[in-house]
Amino acid sequence: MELGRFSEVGLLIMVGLADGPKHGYALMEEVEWLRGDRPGPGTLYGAIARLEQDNLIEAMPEQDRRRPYRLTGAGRTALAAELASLQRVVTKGKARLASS
Amino acid sequence: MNSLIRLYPPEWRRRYGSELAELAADSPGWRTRVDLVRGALDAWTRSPGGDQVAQRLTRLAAVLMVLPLLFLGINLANEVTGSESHILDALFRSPLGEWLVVLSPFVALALVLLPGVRINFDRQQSEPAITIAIHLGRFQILILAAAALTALAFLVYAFFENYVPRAG
Repeated sequence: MELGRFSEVGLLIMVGLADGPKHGYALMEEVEWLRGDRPGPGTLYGAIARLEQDNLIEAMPEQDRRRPYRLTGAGRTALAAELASLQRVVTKGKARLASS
Repeated sequence: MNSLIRLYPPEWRRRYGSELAELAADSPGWRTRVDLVRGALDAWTRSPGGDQVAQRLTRLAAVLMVLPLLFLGINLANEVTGSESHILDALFRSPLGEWLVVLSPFVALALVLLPGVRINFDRQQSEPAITIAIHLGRFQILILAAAALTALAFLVYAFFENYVPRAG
């Protein structure tokens, strides 16, 4: 998953979509909750555009003038791989901290 | 905010513009403005539309390189054969033509490289402050090499011969 400066927000968007489709405003709130501060709208939609371009997420038909997004199959696989990789880092990091 | 959203590529605006405008209106302020400008820069350079812009700029750079390459080629041929060709004399008699030939390789270099410039505003990331990431197809490599070598040749010539194009 190569998203340049959108990597962090991109990952958090995918985490936000893991339990079902969401529109832009809900995704902004998800990212804010996950990382503690609100991403700018340009950053959020830059990441959404890149994820969509890479076929990791897709737009659904508009509902109430808002377009929800959802994870694609490839997105779900990429997210699982990314989280497994992070999990290894967390496990290793905690073990090393505990042993020092 | 709408004026900043107009900075995005038309195709990108049609796709995400209204959603972006809605979120931007919700958090007005200079941070949002800066974020929108950064987003627009990314959209131009990274979207499929951005690739098209980069390709157009490379084609423009190729056109710009015609005169300087012709100039270098004729001079090189004159040196090798010992003959004198005056094909481009009319052009170089005008200061404008001279500047055009001298500056074109530098402008061509900028046109090929600029779409790939990435500025890292995020100090938390360990990436360098500025990186250049361009798609290097054969055509880009050819134009980049031609522009860089021609610009270098002009710089070397200017350094050793104290050459300065005429002011007018």
